Amino acid sequence: MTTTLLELQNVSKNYGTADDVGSWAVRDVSLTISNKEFTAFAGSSGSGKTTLLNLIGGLDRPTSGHVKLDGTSLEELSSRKLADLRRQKMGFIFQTFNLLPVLSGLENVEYPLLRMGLGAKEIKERSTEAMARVGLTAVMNSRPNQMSGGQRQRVAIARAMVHKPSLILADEPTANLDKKTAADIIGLMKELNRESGVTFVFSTHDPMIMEAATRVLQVSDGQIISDQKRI
Amino acid sequence: MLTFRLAFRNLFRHKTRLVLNLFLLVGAFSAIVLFKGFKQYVIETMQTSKIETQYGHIDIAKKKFFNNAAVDQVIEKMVDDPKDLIDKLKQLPEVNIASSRLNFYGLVNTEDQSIPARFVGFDPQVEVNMQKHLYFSDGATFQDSKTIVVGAGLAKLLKVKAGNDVTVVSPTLDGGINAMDLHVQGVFNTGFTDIDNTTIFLPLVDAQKILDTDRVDQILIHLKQNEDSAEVIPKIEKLMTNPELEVKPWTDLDLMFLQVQNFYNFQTFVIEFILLALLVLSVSNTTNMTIFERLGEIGTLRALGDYETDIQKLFLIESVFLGILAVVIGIPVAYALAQIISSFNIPLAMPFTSLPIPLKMTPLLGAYIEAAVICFLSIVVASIWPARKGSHVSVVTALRAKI
Repeated sequence: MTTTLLELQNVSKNYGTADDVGSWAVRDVSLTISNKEFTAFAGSSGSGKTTLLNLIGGLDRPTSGHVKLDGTSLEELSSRKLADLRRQKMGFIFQTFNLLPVLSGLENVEYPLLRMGLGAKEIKERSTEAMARVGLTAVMNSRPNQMSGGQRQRVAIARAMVHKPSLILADEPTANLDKKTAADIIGLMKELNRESGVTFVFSTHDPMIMEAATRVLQVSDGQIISDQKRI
Repeated sequence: MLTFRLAFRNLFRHKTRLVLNLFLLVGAFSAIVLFKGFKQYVIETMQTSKIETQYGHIDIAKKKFFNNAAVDQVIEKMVDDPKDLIDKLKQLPEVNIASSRLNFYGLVNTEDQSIPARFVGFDPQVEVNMQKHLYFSDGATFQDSKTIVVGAGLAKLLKVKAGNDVTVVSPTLDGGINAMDLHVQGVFNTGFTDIDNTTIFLPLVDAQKILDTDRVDQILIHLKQNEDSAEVIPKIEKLMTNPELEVKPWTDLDLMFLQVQNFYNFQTFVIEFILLALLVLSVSNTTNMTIFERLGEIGTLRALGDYETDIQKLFLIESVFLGILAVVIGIPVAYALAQIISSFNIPLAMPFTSLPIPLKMTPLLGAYIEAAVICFLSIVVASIWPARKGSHVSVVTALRAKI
């Protein structure tokens, strides 16, 4: 059964003054995303897809409108409550992987669990399991600079899913990867979506992701211009 | 635990910057230890000289003696029969030496001139240590009675040296005038111009002959431990039967020494304050650079659910690790530097003393603790503002920076 996980109501984001039309990064966007969706915001650079992702992730606040996750309006939450929400319900995957360079792969995956009140043993078990799930058991003690791009993105995926979030936001996750690695990473995310039911929302201009997505929202000039759903 | 691991490893990310920070911190740590060690050595040297040559640790005399009574009141300062009290004082376990002195003013006559001087009669058989702290520039210490040693400044004025004879003239206690021919055995320096320009030491028996008395005006007590004064004074007071006598620690008698101590303490405070300010400025500058370079990491941690305060804590923990590292390196470096510098015995002209003092450092646990506190304090203070600033950067802005 599908239920609404995410709801955007007339969301706008302006980085300049209200009259400055050129500085509207997102304009009057309304949409809903259900759980278990594998959705991609597609569009060219500067179209507003990353801003949309930031607003959904509570990393930025809308100028107007409402963003609701599981019925909770994000704009009503304090900075600390937003951090709590991200920690509990969201995972992030970045274009440049954003792994902490001084920590090993496993330690990077352990990090989101630190502030969840779990014991050291459970943190270790869950992180090791997540690393195994993305196929990185052999290199889990290596530092990011000792890994390939694909391995780094797999660590990032393990880090995003280790605390069992309901939503994973991925900003151009394949942009820094070669075609074959990108296909593997997309396959892995798709598998996780299928197995664990976690909702994925991407910002991308990678045709492979758009092909794999169950829904593609075309973004242009900060507005959704098309909404294609695939079964 | 992972936060601590992250903070510790972050320390070593920029090795050049770490080395620069450590160089500054270890340098400041060593400077504080060396400066305080030298200050302590100077004060201890001056203190020992004052105790051995002028006051002992504790003095017993009449009130008029302590109040520097006028010359015509000399008789009122005299202590009758001090032997009984000295014998009792010697029984106290804390007491090393108890002896008596007779101080007076008189004229020293040479063939050419006549100059007033202060005379200190003491017992050379008892105050053996005292003579070790008179640094003889000419001649040597006492051989027998009717010999004197003259302060270097006074000797220069009198144009006398070891081997010369002088005549001392002074009023006796009953108002007559007495004179005695004395042989100059040596010329000394104590390092204190107020003594070296005015004072002549002579055996107590000769001083008593000149004043025509068998009395004394000062009883000196040397203790086995410098720190025992406060504890011993009540015991001494119990032994005293003459209500006219008073007991005072030597520090109450030498205002100049207190002023010297205050001067050095103030100087140390100013130097430490300047070092603290320099450390805060330089460490905060490097922390600022570090935080600016790590905005991407800050953004990532915030996206993963860290609070602003978690970010501030991370940078503060890094600072504490830097402080620990600086102290761990600073202790042996400062100790080795102190040993090496002290071994050269470099003479230094210092304020308040006419003799050069060798550049030596007394090892002081307190100096190491103070240096560690200053290093920690400066690092933590220097990190607070940049860490706060870095943690307040919006997550989106921070995420735009590279890791």
